[in-house]
Amino acid sequence: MANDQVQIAITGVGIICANGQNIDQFWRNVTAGQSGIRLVTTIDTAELDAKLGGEVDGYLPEDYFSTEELQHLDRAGQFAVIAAREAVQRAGLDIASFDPYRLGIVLGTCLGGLRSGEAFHEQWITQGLEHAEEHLLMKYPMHAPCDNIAHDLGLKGPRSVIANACAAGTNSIGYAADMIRMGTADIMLTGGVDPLARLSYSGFNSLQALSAGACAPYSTSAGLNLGEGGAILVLERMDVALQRGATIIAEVLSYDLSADAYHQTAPEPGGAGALRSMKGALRRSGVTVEDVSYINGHGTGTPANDSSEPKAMRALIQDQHVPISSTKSMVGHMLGAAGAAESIVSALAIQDGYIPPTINFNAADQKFDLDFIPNEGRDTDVQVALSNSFAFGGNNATILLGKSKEPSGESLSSARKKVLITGVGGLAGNAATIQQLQELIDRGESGISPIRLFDSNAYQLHEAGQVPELAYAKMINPSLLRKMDTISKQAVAAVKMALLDAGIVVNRANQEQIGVIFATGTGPIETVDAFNRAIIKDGIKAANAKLFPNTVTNAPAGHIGLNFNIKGPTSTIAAGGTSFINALYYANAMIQLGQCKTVLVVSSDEFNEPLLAGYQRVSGYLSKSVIRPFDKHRDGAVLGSGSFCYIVESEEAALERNANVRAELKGFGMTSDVRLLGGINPRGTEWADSFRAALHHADLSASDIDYVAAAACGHRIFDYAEAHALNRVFAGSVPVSAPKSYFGETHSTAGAIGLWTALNAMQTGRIPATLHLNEPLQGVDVDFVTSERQEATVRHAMISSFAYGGSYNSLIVGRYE
Amino acid sequence: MMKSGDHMINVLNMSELTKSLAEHGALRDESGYGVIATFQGAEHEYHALRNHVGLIDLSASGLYLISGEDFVEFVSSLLTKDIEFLDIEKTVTSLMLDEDGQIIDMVSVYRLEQAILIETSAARRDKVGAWLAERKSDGVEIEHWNASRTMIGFEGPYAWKLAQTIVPFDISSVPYQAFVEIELENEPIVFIRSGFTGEYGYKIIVPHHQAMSTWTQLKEWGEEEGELEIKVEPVGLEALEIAMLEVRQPCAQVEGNGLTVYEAAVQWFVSYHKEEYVGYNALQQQLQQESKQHLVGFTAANALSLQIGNAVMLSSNKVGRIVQLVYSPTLEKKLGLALLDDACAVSGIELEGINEAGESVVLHTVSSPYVLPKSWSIKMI
Amino acid sequence: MNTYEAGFAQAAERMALTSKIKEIIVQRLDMDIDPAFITDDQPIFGRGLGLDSIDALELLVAIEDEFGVTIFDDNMAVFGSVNKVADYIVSNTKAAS
Repeated sequence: MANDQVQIAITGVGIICANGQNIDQFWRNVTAGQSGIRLVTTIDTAELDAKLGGEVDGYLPEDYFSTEELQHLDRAGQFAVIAAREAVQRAGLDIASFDPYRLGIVLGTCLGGLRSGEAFHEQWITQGLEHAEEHLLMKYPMHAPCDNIAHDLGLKGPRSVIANACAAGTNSIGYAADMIRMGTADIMLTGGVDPLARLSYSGFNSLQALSAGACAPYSTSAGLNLGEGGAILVLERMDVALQRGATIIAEVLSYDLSADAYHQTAPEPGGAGALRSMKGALRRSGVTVEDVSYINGHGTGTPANDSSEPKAMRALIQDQHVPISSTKSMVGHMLGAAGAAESIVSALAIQDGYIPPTINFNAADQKFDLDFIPNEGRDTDVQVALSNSFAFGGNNATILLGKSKEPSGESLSSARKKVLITGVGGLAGNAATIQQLQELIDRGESGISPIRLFDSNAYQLHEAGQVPELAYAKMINPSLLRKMDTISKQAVAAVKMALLDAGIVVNRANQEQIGVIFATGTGPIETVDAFNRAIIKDGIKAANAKLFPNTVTNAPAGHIGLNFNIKGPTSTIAAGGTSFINALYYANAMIQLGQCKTVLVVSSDEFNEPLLAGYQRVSGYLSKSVIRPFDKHRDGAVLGSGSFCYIVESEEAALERNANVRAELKGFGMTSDVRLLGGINPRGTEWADSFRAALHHADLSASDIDYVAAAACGHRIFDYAEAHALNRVFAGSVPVSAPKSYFGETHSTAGAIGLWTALNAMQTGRIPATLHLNEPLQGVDVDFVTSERQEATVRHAMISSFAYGGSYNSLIVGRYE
Repeated sequence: MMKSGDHMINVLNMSELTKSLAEHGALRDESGYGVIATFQGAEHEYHALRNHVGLIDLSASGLYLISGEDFVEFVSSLLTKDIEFLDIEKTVTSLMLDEDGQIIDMVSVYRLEQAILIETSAARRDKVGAWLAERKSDGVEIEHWNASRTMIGFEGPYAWKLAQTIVPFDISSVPYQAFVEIELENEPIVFIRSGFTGEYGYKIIVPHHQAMSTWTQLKEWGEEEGELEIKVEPVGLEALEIAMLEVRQPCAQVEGNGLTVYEAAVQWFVSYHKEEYVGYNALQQQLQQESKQHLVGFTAANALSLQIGNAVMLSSNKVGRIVQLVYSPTLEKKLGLALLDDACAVSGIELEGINEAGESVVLHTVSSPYVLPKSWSIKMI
Repeated sequence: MNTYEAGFAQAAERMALTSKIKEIIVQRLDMDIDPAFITDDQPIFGRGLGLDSIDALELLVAIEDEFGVTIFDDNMAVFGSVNKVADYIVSNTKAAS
């Protein structure tokens, strides 16, 4: 692929972690083998044997932020912004001199604003919901630290959050590079952030994965130490960097992802999945294994990792000598920030010609005959560095960085492959299948039902979109089923239906070529609530080892791999309401850039009591009666649950197997605003620009669009903003409907439902009515499809989505012709 | 038991591999199939299984390949285990019942991409073959793999090291109850991780003409492991049966010998929710019966003689009988199974066995596994 | 030698313990089967009940909760069968009292 050759420069790095609160300090300590592992003070570990961690020491938020700023930043947000500011400063980047829409961000995180979530949860349980503080909820989402950076720096381009647990940092850098290669942005901030949290201590403790002493990767391997921090890189298209005279630290050559499909938490013992991601990264860049001068390993120090990863490394390098180190020995396992910190180490190793050691290395306990750079670093010319990150769910990521070479002169290719939708499966509200969903919409009937999952008397709202209890025992292997939570079961059910619809049978010939991108708005709230509830009530040792693996956002992706034996590139996006369309974009990029030919794009969102409680605490959010999108009398949203899976394929792959093509992905528009955590710009300026960007990308004009599936959810401000954005771009010429009126606010999955109404409209000519839309809001010129559905010929449709914090993803699909 | 001789070799049905091995061992007649009972002596061979690597001639075990458009439904209809979610390259052990709920055999079921392979015991090979033929529908084809292929097993705490010499990838990548189709000496073979003794266990299925060379190649392997010099020893059925009983691995000739599923305590080879298979109704009736008996393991330290069929007593009341009895070299005791009344069929109590001479022998019921396999404390690296 | 009644009483006590262990396994690990369907001597891991290392960790906690007996993770032989778990509970409860 031509675009794979587009050079990506790393021009700035920033970090705050246990052994350094800026790059200079960090690199000095890392090269000297100076550990930052110590007794932790911000988590109560009194009951645990493992009291150590890589905590950011002697840190005062006031040194960095004003009181006003700190209202919007929890510990993760602070680390994220501190590292991002340093990276931009070191890159010498004057953001104001660029078109802000050409600057984006992809952040990796495992926990996001969980520290705020834990505080809210504890207040709720111990003092009652009315005493739990609303501001904590604003900081809680996975995407809050990412929003914090974008707001602080003024980034208005694409914004996404990668949430595949401990692989998130590495994956996010790869995804950010893809966005530049796809021409979606010129400059990307990327990396990862995670705080120390009670959930991680209690969870890893329940798995007996924590070391009581300082961790000793690749030798004693008695367990890991948790770490925390933020690690951010500035990536630029090489010509942009060179034009402004930036210093190039290193280049991102390539990356790859894979799935073990072996176990929820344990790596495949022979390292087969790890080997695939390492080999894939080499293949994509055209670098040979002989060129690799340094490997920064995942090296957590757990017995499981340290016996499987070295096997994969040995299989990769064969009888070559390649030095390998685990810098987690000095900073702990920073979870979603780990891969980002390790890419920074690798980039600096390339720039400085120095490779850092694995400290606490005890040669007597060494089990593999590999050079783990024991205890002392060394001077080495590093041409190419490879860095690994492996996560729960068997999700693996490998990235390759290289010394900056002469510009190749490769520019963005304008040639695009056609990427097609060839299968769909889903459930939402009262509909357990796509057929039921279609019947429901055709009848103009709501999929929302009285709350039956719990007693809703304590809340202001008593209805929700609740999916029917499916006969999961008939659909899912019982030995896997008992380890799955609601969000995972729904996701697997949707995948099963979509594979059937597409006529794809996963087998040995294709299992490594099929990718999975899982998207979710709120993540596994049911499991996180159950897990945390036990800890809040009975202490940090009361953690449930069975629940913990499902507290990670990418657990459903892992379950999908296990259920269907799918081992291709696997990622997870948790960017809020934009996640699904963002995941489709990522699938499109994977196919355009030649990473794979078939991708399952899966979205799943739950409804349960903690969600209702949380949203009730957000003023003005929930309706007191019914969801009335775009109506003058709308008073808020109704919540819903649902799961969808779309099969996305290259045209070549679809034709090869004679697939039934439902639509072609025509264009994506991804913008964001920089206004407020938990809110959006009510004027809809950036939202309108995402519509324009999607039209531009699809090479269409507003008049080519025959139907818009809106994101409106009945919220006073959000609907207002979207209506104004629609008015500005389409000026009453295009029918607009709001599918959330049928199923409630299903967060990420709402985008998937919107897409389904678009596919249906293209096929049947039926544009759904918006339920309960009797008096459309005034002062805007928009062709709302009110309670009567419309018949029309639909050749192109647009699906709109947004996330609180101000990001907008719009998608245009068209008939495949 | 008979010593091998021309007579038996002529009468018994044997693979070429068994015929050549029979010269060095004693044969046993397993329903017309010749199986090596011992090579150098059961205790010596047992030691190899528990401490080194035991090499096992499994060529008498039946191998039936079921294909055709209805192969999954057909096989499923004959198995007590649910195979709907059995992935390709995975194996499961199941019972095969007749319409009266009697155990025909315990079989290993291997899911291939377009077929299922069924492995039977040697003793029930023909019975399963006849059963498959009887139940077969038009949409199913059955190929008797024994006509062209030989199965060889090897087990022991270091069997994984030997297995590593066969597969081209890291051996730990083959999980328990999984298999792969690979090439050995340019011939397609099936390599299986599954065994009988609780130790690391593997089986390979090779073309007949390769059987002897593979056997020899496996037998000649050896490695230094610290102080220990790991060796591969041929192992006969007698030693294998001791090791199987020690981990309560059921054996068709004991558990399937006139006992019901409940009596044999092999419900764990039945999927709780599965209803559509031959023998289901009879099995449900069996399970609902009152006043039942089931098997419990026991040991007897006393040197007095004891035999299969001897009565088992609790304070002069007969509560059951002995159905299996071996000598466990590890326990240095007799180890057996007794079919006992449910009311006293538990581990941890003291009973009496009454031998032919009318003498009383103290029996202690014990908990499985009666011997802890060494493999449980050895990690593959 | 036991008396007839004492022997049955001892067996009944043992059955109560193994039944409770089976119930705990089924309940704590969300298994969709009748606890009585589990036999005393079948393996708990692998093909026996299909449990894995995470289930074992959950069982450690469950057994500590229910019986006040601590199993250390390096003693996984305890999970050889329901009977083995019962033996461990019996011998460690006795030792403590």
